[in-house]
Amino acid sequence: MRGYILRRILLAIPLLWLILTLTFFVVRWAPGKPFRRERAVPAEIEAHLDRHYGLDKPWYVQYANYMRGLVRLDFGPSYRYPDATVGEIVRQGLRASVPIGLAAYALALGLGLPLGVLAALHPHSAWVRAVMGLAVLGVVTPNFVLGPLLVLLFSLTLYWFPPAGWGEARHLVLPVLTLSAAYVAYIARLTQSGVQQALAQDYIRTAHAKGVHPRAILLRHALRPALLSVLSFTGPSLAFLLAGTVVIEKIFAIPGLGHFFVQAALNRDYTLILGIVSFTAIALIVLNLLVDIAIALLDPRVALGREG
Amino acid sequence: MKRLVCIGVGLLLLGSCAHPAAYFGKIEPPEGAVLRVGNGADPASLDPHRAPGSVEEQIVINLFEGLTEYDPVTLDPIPAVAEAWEVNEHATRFRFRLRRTARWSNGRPVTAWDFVYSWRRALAPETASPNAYLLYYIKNAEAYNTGRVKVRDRRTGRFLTDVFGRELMLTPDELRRIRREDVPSEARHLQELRRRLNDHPWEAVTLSAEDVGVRALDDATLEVEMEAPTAFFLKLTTLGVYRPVPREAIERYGRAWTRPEHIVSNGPFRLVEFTPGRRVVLEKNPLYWDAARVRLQRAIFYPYDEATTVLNLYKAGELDVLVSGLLPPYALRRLQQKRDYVSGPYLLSYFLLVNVRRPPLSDRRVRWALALSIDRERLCRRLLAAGQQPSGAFTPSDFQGKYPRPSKVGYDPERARQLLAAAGYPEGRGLRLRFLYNTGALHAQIAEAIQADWRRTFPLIRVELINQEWQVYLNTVRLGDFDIARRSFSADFSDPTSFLDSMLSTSPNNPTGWANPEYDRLIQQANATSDDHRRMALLARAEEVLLDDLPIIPIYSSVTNFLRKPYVRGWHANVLDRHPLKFVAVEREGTPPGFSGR
Repeated sequence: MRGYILRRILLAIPLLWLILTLTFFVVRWAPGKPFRRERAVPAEIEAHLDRHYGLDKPWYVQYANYMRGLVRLDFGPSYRYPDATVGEIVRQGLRASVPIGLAAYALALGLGLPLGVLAALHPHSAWVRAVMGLAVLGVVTPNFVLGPLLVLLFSLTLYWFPPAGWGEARHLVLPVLTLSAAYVAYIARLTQSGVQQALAQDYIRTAHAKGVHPRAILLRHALRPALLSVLSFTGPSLAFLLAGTVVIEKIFAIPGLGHFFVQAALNRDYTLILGIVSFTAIALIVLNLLVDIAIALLDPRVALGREG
Repeated sequence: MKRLVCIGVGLLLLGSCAHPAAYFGKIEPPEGAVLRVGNGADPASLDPHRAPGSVEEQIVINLFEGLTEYDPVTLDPIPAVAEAWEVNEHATRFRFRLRRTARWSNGRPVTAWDFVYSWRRALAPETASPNAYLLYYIKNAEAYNTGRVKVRDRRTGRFLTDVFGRELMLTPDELRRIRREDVPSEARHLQELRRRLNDHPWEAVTLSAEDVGVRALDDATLEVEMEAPTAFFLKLTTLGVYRPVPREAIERYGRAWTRPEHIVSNGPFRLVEFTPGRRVVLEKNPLYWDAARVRLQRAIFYPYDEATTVLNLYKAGELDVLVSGLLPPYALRRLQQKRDYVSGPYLLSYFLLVNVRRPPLSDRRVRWALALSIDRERLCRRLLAAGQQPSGAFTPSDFQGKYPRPSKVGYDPERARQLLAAAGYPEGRGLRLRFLYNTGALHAQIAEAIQADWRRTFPLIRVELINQEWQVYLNTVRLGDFDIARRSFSADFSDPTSFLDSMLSTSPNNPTGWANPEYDRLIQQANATSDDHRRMALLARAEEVLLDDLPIIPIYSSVTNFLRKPYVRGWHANVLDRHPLKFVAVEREGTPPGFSGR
């Protein structure tokens, strides 16, 4: 197991290098430059700016300097925010993205899991079907429709929650609701099919025959394999939630990572783009690894690091 | 995607306010003397020298106080750190008397030396200030900032000048060419200069920070020498880039000096929080010399840029006032009926750049034909609908009647048809144009309206609309890779030169390829004239030359428009959309009763 983890981490390093190198060149190939604005400044001032940020050097020197900085975990100054470093901006973005992402996912789990189990146990109940139908509606309603609808109801009609903003608990409610809607149904569906599949297995029948309490059968024997599919869905979706959800952050004016990422791309803020890309890549790699480890712990059929 | 959100919420919003109320949304003032401003974007920096645009300026002018301050209505310069000033007859030398009560937020007095330090820093190449060009009116400022040299006659010790009496400047490259006698024959001014230099023993002079024409005569007297007569200099001293910065904090903390824990400022407010993407919080500065006059305790600037989100926040009473230009177009007509809607003239011109290097646009008749076939009146009334004025000129205003603004370009499809036929394109046959615009605002709709006007007048014309993302568009324009491109231009300060300078043949803001020596000469002559009346007349003549040639096709002059809660006082519509918070207050009493927007 330890060898497996070590190997995964070592494999992640060339992967990260590849991602960052590609990003480094792609952003420079995009037309435009970091300090361009509608009103052009004299050529000499542009030259001062380029020199200030080392953009006057040939690309291989810029690349070497950037990689040298990375080794020291120095992502450099942001071009858009000359008073701040990329590290500070990324931390700032996480301060908003992490609570919202975690809260939304926790809510989705809290609602989706029981709902899925109920749906598996009573597949023909009208109530369960109605609730599942509602949940599916949550998946198919794009969040840029759901968000404004919630704002209209709770902010502009009832005046309960602010329509946008960030910083206090009351700002969390609407974005978290909007964000979790899609995940509730997804998790419920995954749980439902997992539990249904498990309940049809022979070992469940054996357990019934042996007189095990139905609740114990459900919780110990049926839910555990069902959780595996939910768990493998958790890794990528949590990384996605943490890296910022651009649309939600736009609608609710949340200064999260996604907000800064879009701004950075529009402003050709090379260093900030690279900083956020590398954070997202690392988050994805680490979360996937954690999920794989958790699955191995839950599922005796999976043995990490062994062939076949 | 963004548009979908807008339309979705737009329809809902419109549906929800079926009963028009006098005000839009909540009108209860916030707790305490706090003003919450929708500022439209995140400030890039709060360093007055590194703050590139109006978003930053809006905040910076409240943290740092310059020699002069904006009058909140007229924007005329009023005394601030300077309590009085005098200017010589030719407007080449200004002397400011500083008030002795002005203090930094650490208690140190603000002196003339602070301004000397600050202006030198703004011009230092290492500072890389994007706004340094605004200080070029000061003696030797441009030469120091750009690394150009001046040429001195060794015998007389005088600098060589051009026909208007302004000292010559050479780029290092030009200097090298002259020294090596390697001057291309098409560079006529260099050829001429080389001939002049052959008659004199001369030397090239590199200029340093100490040569910049700003001096402290004593702690309370600042003297500024100009490169040429600058009658409007007091409008410049109000700009953010002219405001003083604290030497002690900059030298101690470097890049991080603008952090709330490090910053030292001299304005009516001081910085207590700057969280990128979230907000900037200012608090009343108790050490400010005129603190008795400042009525706000706190001001919060929010960076929200999504028009619908901003509108929602305003409606829900989370914002008290918005800067201009944040209102979503779909809601304008409804908002205009509300009493919180404020609008006024704005120094912003919307126009088309014409690439005069490319045939057939190199033909003046084609440019005129295109210009005369745009129905600006209809465009402004039907599409824009915020009070924009059809424009027949490059400058958007007559500057309070001081500028005899020429207005030449109107709507005359008949004459347009004749001109285009005379140029060899009857009915537009064989005329193909690529019309470039960027994503955002109403640019697409404006381009489509102009395209339709052209098609109506010239049935056989082919106009291809090309939409590019902002940075791509800027790049394409810069490279001159367009036939026609939309553009808007707003003034840095309220003077026609702020617009007209951009069409000089040497200006980085003139990508049209148009260069007219007569225009350049008139502008330079105007800039060397101290009599304001005569200066304005010369500028107007230059603009006439520009409009005769039409390398730009005027479309409209813009307006400011924003929402302001009834309890906000002292935040006025003005031509630059600048709002010094020193004059702003939140009044709990006096809100007309019985109005609720719910």
